[in-house]
Amino acid sequence: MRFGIVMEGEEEVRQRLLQAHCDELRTQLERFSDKVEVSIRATYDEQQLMREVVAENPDVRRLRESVRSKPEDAAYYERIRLGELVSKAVEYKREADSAAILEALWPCASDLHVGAGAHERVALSAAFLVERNRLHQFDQALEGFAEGQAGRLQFKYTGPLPPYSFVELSEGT
Amino acid sequence: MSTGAMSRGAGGGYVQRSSSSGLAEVLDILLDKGLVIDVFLRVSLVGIELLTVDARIVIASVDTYLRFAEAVNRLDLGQSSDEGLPQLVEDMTSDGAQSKTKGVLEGAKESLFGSSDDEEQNGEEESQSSSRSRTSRRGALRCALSQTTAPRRWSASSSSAS
Repeated sequence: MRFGIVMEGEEEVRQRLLQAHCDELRTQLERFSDKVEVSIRATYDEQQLMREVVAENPDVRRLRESVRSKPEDAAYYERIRLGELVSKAVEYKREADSAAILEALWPCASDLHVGAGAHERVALSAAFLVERNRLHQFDQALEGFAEGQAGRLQFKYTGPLPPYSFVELSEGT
Repeated sequence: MSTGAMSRGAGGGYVQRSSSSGLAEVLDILLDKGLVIDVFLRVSLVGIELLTVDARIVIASVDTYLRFAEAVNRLDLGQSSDEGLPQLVEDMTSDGAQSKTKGVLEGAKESLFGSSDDEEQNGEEESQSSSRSRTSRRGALRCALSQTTAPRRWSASSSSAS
């Protein structure tokens, strides 16, 4: 369940929610009894990202020079093409960096839910299900990885949380 | 920064921690899919959900390309430790490019979505962002997006599968 549900009274809660879904609720509670969710978002530093893209892609460099040498209107289609090249380069980086982050953190996690980042600078947005007694290990793995990416990737950590992203309840009675 | 975010400063200094009880953080996570599932509604929500996941195959928009072009154009390369780009030393002339570059992608995002920080507020924004062509992702990440295969795929190499 993702959102709170409004019900008419205690009796309805007892019958419609608890009794009707008793087995399922119990299974879910057992599944998560010792686990928490940690939400991680890794975001690129824009300048550093652009620097890397330019340094690593000769065609971006060439097109960039060409665009800069022209007045803005004349270079319209070239700018679109340049942006497309940059966009693709960023996509490749995102894949590689996401894989590296997941490789570092997955060993400490029990489950994983990858979300879609909300804007172009997001490298990874993911929820990890972590056993409570492994949380410290998870945190350390993240700190270690983040240190290696300082100046390039910024990490935001939200948690520990209830396992919002991992709970599944089927529909209907 | 969203109003609920507070730096705990726990552990090392490389990870920004957020108060997990902040409303903004909780909503952020709950709204990640941009889809509300009311367990008591008798609608074929499962079908819609699958469609939503598939629909995240995003076709990058021209606007996004232009934003990227602007970001890379305004980049002041003179500041970076880049070997092999001597021809771009001319970019060191300061015209305020650095401060502009920093905000180009963010500024565009603000003008589109009206948010004042760099946290996503709403799953609907996903459809307007570019270059996240999900079907082009390879390997584990692609599997991770499919809700059924991700845990199995990763747990094959891990001893911590639940």
